Amino acid sequence: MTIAFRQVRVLAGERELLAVPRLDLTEQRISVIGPNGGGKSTLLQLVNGLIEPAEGTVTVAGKDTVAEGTAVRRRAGFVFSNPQAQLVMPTPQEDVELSLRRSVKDAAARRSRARACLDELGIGELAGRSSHELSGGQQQLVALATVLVQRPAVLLLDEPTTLLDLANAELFTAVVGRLAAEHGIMVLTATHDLQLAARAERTLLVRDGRVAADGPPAEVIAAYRAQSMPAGDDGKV
Amino acid sequence: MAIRRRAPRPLPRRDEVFGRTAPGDGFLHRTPAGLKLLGLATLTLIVLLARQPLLSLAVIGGLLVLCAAARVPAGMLLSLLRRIWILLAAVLAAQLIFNDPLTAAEVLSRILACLLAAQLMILTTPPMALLEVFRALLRPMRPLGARPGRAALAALVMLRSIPYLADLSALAGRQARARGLERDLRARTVPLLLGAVAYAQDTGRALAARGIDDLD
Repeated sequence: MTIAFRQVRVLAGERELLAVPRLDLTEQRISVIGPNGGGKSTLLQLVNGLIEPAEGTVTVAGKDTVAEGTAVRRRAGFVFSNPQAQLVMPTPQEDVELSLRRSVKDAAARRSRARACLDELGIGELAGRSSHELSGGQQQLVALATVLVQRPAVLLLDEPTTLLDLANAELFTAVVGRLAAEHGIMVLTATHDLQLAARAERTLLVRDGRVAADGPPAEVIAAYRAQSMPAGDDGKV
Repeated sequence: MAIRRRAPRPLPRRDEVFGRTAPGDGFLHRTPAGLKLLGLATLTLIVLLARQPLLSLAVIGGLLVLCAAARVPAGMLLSLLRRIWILLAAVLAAQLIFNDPLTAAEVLSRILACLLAAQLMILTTPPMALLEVFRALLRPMRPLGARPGRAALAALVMLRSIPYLADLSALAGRQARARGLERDLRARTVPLLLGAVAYAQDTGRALAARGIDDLD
């Protein structure tokens, strides 16, 4: 599985938000770090076809994210930082079933697959609860279930642990790691959590609309720290 | 001297009115949503056209009996009144000022009968079943360009957003109070409006990411 960027430019009016001349992503776990407004989310949304480049192309397993947007979205699931905006149905069970509405016509099969997915994530007992009553961590796991049930090849996580406390963030990260390994899913995570970023195989530093560094997590994180610290501060406490 | 404090009030559960069904499997839960909607429409029409306070009161009594028979907690049915009592009081006051007590009783009893009937249906019907009925009702309008699946999704998102917006409104109120701006309309409404727009954008983006643009 390869995600390929070729001569990509994203514009907001005259302003350039992101420029990626050439980038090939093949590793299973990739993290994207960088300051706010640097272009991390834009990069992720390009992969899902949520944002269309003004110039150039982005392909996922050879499929163009603009020309074959629907097919790409079927293969690339997206989880946002705010789960409340992602869950539209009254209960987790119904929300996960909604994701299968197009692909699984038989209602009973939809029900059982949705329940199996919730069970796999360890939240089967929440299936019939009101989504609004769940904790942030539980809602984020339900949001993940709505994506995973479609068996994506790529999982795009846009600051998925930002609104979670430490325990829920750890739980979410562990579940994603386990499922990605078991099902061979490629995971692209945009995050401010450098510990989370360090668990990837490859890290991209995106700032000022450019991929400023690309390589092993330890090196890229060190470069990010060095660039972000005020002059004369070595970052040690 | 010991200070006497009022017992803290629990935070309101904002999803009790919209999108929440009463637990249980009584006969009303098992009745098809379409039939319940038809019953509600007929009952509402009769109450509105008859304009008889005694009939409206009888309907309210009947609804309470039905509620008990269907094993729906009466508190869930009547919680609606707790939330809209100011509105009901305003209607009553306006009727007493501009009309006579009999008309006030007639108007208020009609409103109560219709609202409680609708609330009982909501409490015993999953929102998805109601949306399916809504979609079925729109289906004949397809040749005219209507998209029932998209309309149903819009209605669903609207229902889903009510508790979120209620929380956002409460938060905006607390933030305004924290700044000493509890009487400032702008301080209470601008964060709510901005939050609502952001929520709408996020929801739209999330639905697009999931490839969902209707319920067909």
